[in-house]
Amino acid sequence: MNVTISSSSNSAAGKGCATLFFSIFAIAGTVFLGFFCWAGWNTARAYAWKKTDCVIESSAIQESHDSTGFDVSYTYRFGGRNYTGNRYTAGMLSTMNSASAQRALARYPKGAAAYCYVNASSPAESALLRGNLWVLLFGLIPLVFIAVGVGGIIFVWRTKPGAGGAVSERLRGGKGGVLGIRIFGSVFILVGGGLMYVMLVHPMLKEMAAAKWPQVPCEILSSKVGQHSGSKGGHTYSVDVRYRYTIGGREWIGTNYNFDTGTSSSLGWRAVVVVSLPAGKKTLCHVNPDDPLDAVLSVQGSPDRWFGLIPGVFLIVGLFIFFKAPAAARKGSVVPLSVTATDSGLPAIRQGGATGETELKQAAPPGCAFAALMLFALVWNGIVWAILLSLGPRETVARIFLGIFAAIGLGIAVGAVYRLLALFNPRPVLTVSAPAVPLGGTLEVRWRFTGNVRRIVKLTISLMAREEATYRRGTTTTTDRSVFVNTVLLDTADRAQFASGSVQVEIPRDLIHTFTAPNNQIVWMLHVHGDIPRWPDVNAEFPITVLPRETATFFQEQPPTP
Amino acid sequence: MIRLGLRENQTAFRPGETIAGAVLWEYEKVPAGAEVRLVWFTRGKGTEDGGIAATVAFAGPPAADTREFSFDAPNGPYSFSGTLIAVLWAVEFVVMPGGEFQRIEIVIAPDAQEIHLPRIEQPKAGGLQARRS
Amino acid sequence: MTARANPFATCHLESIPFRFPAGQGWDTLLKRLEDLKWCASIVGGNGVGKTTLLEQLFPHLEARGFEPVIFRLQTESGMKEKDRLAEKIREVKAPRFILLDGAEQLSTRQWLSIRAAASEAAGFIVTVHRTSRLPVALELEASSKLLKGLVESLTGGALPDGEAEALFHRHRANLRDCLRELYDRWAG
Repeated sequence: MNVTISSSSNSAAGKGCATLFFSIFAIAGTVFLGFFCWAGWNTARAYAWKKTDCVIESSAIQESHDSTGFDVSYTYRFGGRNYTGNRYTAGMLSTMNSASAQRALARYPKGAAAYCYVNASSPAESALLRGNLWVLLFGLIPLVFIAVGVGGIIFVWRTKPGAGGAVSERLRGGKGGVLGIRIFGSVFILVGGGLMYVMLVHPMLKEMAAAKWPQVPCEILSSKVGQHSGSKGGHTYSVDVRYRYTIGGREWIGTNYNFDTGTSSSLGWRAVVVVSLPAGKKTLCHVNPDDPLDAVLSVQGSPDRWFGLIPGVFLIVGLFIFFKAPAAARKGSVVPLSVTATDSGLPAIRQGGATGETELKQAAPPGCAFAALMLFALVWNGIVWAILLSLGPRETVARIFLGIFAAIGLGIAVGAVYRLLALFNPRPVLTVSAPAVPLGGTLEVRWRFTGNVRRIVKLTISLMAREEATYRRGTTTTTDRSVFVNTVLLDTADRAQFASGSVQVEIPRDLIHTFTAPNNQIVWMLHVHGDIPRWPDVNAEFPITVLPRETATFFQEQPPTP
Repeated sequence: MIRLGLRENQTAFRPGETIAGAVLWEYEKVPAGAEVRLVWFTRGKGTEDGGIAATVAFAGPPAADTREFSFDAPNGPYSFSGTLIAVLWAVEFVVMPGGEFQRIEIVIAPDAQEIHLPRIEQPKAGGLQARRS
Repeated sequence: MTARANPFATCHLESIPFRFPAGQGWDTLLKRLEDLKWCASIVGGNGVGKTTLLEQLFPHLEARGFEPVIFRLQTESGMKEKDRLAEKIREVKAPRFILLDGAEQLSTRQWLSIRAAASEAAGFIVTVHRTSRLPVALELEASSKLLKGLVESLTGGALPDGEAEALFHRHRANLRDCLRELYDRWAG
């Protein structure tokens, strides 16, 4: 008895586990979405409230262990009656920090006249500010969870088309499908792009601006490494610093060390920073000349900055889904071939399946290679650079060692960029006069391109056939290939011919038909190559099915499919 | 003792032709079973694949006997040999238990000759004229 | 030379009788396995013949009344497949005998689970790259001399002087890769 361990995902238990897994996504997404809907309603309804004059009775900043708040009290008159309010904001507001609390205090000093917003149906309910509606965009995050969960469950339980299914049937027009896929992709783009902007792009832009701000003397009031409970039971850390500086004769308090957001589990560099900023130390800080509360001690990014690359995976996946939507919708709507393999390795022809035009499917779509390479590049570079940037100045040996990995990462990134460029190539679409052709038979091949075909300077279409032998021994598997047919069908630099055209392909009579066994294959294909100067070339393989000679009569006798 | 023979010692066939022959076995004990199988298998650089295209089973075989058999040569796969892969056909006579067997390799191909695949390194020029649509 | 006639075709490579190191043979190996209570490892790098040895051990175990079952793990085997292996192995009970090819693919967690699952089998022999996990019954090491001998038995001729050594070093002692390169050379 010989057992080779292989995967099988069709069992009911497997489906059950997968369904449970995806259900968790869908349920978590739904719960979060419910929260955002509730918070969104609270924010939005304040926009229907009446703007009313009020007077600030008291205002003060409240500092606690690890948060900053703003306490305010104001009076207003509504419907002939006097009311007192103490709500600063209605609905969702971005987090209150020292700077925003100081801004609030400066804007609403005791005795100042201001506006508040009053709920006309319940005048005791009021607020000085209305929440930010843009925060609701974060509600898109649970949509991703729901999409992954529901999509995953549908994928798990979707019934595969039966072997005896209809032939070359074209189902469902593409437009609705394209829109749906693009909306799905847009969610990824918004979430990934938004997080990447907040975590990476915005801090970098701020640093560039702050480097030009005037530097003013400041004094460190306190500094410590803040410790926060992490989601997995561990801790995350932050640099908690307070410093005092004077602008325009008035004293201000700053709390920004640099422009990075959030906390992380990296303790080392934070401890070094805190040690270098003891209370009482006199130093310089960068202050925004247009906003004295916008101040920062350091205009250098922290090693955690590169975690901001991680949302880039979402962004890239989203872009990929968005731009590949038409192809994906097309793929889902066409059952192109009526030819599969039999136990004898021969292609099997379903009844009525030997005739009719068929759009060929590309062997390895370029997007797959790009997505895989980009994902790998992001993970590799993210890890390597995060470690590299967290190293101390004296860790030279470690830097050199990691530099090798960084160079490899650079190579992978270059490869991913190359693949990305190839995604914007014009895409060949090949249609053949029949889903399969016997040895010695003739096949009409029609080609067209989607995208800007004028970028191509030379187009070559070839008929190729090769042997593919896979060797499994011990723990290794290797596949070797050997080409035995490579006939150029079209080789032209005449741009007028590029956009579309057709060629007759004569399949050699004395060779071997398509053969598909688990480890050995004979693969016939049409190969399209387009030269694009200073850009990755168009390079696409479209497998075709070549049948034994004896099936020629079958083809001729077969009535056309209705 | 077992023997397998093909009619007129023919070992090359076109698809659809009849592959006929006879088998002989002679044992002291009655065998559990005896079969003639038409099989294909690969040979070459890859791990071997194979399959049984047809079987003629002799039910309740006596200790010694002679039987005839025949198959229709299938449409494929053709017998061929390339650089990495060869597909071979054979008629096998197997006696159970013990699995004693005898095999005769045959060729099944359109011209009753094994197809030889060339090895191409460079594209051949001289394609067909394209016409613009 | 076509695939049909190539002396380095897979079927020929896999039918070569396993060549033991000097002073070793089936008798000594089986004695050693018995001493180890049929629970042992065969150690060696890639392409030195561990799988061949495991496969050719089959009839020797059958002759002793065992019913050997081979499990193979390959580099591309996924985590799920490896996790499922323990379930399959748990079903193997004496007189059935487990031969596990590629045990180095398993993490420590997976290994411990499989080791426990194999307790009811009549025996448990694994192939691994380095000494670990189970007591070593045989440690395999390839040599250019062994390569020469294999080529001679496959082709009936000898490689040119120094060729076996060059191949052996180029493929870092991986005989399987050496023989695959020779396949390509014979193919032309």
